[in-house]
Amino acid sequence: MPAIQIKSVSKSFGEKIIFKSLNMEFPEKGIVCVMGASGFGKTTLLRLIAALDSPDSGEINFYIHGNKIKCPAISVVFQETRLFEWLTVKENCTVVMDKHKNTSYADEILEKLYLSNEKDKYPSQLSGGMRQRVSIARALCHGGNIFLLDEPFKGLDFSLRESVMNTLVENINPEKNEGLCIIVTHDIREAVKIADTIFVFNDTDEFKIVNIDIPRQTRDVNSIIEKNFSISF
Amino acid sequence: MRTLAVIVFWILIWWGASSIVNREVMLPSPIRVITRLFELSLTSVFWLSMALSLARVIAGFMLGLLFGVVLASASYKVPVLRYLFSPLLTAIKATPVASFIILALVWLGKNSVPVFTAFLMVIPVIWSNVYTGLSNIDKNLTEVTKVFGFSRFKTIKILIIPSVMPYFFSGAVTGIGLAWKASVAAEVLCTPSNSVGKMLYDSKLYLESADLFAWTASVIVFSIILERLFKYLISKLGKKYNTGGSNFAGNSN
Repeated sequence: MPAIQIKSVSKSFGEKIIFKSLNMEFPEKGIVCVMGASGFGKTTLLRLIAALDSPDSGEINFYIHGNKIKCPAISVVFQETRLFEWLTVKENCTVVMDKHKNTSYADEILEKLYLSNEKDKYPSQLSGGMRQRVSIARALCHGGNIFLLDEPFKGLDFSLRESVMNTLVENINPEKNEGLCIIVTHDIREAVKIADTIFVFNDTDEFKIVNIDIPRQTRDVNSIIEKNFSISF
Repeated sequence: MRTLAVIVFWILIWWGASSIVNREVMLPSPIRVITRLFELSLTSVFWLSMALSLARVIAGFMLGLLFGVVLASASYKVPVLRYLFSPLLTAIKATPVASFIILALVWLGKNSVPVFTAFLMVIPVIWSNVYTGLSNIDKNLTEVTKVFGFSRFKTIKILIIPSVMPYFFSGAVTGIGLAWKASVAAEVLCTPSNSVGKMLYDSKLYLESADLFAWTASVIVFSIILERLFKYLISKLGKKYNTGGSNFAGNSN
């Protein structure tokens, strides 16, 4: 059973049609990357799943272990960092946590994302890359069944990308190891490195699915790209 | 140092003008006014009048704050209320204070008029500032509270109050000055017992210009102290919200 089922969803903004009749299914666990040229509605897709926008028609259903649920626990990393400027880095993370959850988990996540020294600073005192990592840390601290990340690695130093990706993979629902993470990205190498499945939008409502069954540590990124995306190196 | 030099300059001008006029009833000298102020400060009537006038200002100001915030929140939530209240508040802003004072004298007892007048002066300022603050809450952050499932109470505490605070603070600083001036003006016209306004009125009645100047000077000094104290409290509260007092919050990106 999928975690998310998108059935005949249409969405337009004024004259601009984003989806005419989109049908998609996202697996119950793993990392799914969504790719495609600008304007194909990748961000709109995340906003529809997060219920920040409503479809004009069609429906989006959520399931946990095959049971239909109304409101899954969703965490989002927005394209803009969207931090509370009047809260410190740590407070930005703990404020989204369940009150029964130990706040030391936030310290743990911040440490993994190299933000321990910044935890008492305010967002205005951070660089763009640091703010982006705080935004990722906040989503991980909130936890949940579904993670929606809109270009989460944009603006990160190349040297940090890998470890931020690893932290993300390790901490998506760490207790049960069954969270679904949907990442919108433009970077094909990034997608091949991290994803279990890649959806590549070719046109409105049309997409290609690429499943990558090779363990992340042993992936030959270039050959996977050559084989599945007709790009040679 | 520069401020002190400016004050000394104007006192010298005042002293020169009073020497030229040479009639105390028209323009008393600074030394005569300072001496009279010192004499007054040794009387219990001075302190009682000051304390009661201050109490009236604070009462009117606090009522104005309360009603201003409630009105702004209600009109933000229910747009119809905004259309209903908007002309009323514009009318309050445009009406001369004296008209309100005279009307209030007809409606209320003379002791309540200064409180009512201060209240009326504060309400439109707080209303419009808080309303603007509410309208300017970052929509992106509102989405963050939705996505992360904040309760209504948590949204108010984490997003709404910190976003509105800079606007509220700025309105409150303007409001306290307005409340002080309007309240003393109301006291002059309705002369409640033990009030600065009554003392000003009596000084004018008995042509005691030195007293009139001394009371006015004390009103200015008290007004400055009150405003400074208020700004200090705001800067303390402002730090809590990381807004730097009355500065507006930065953007979210």
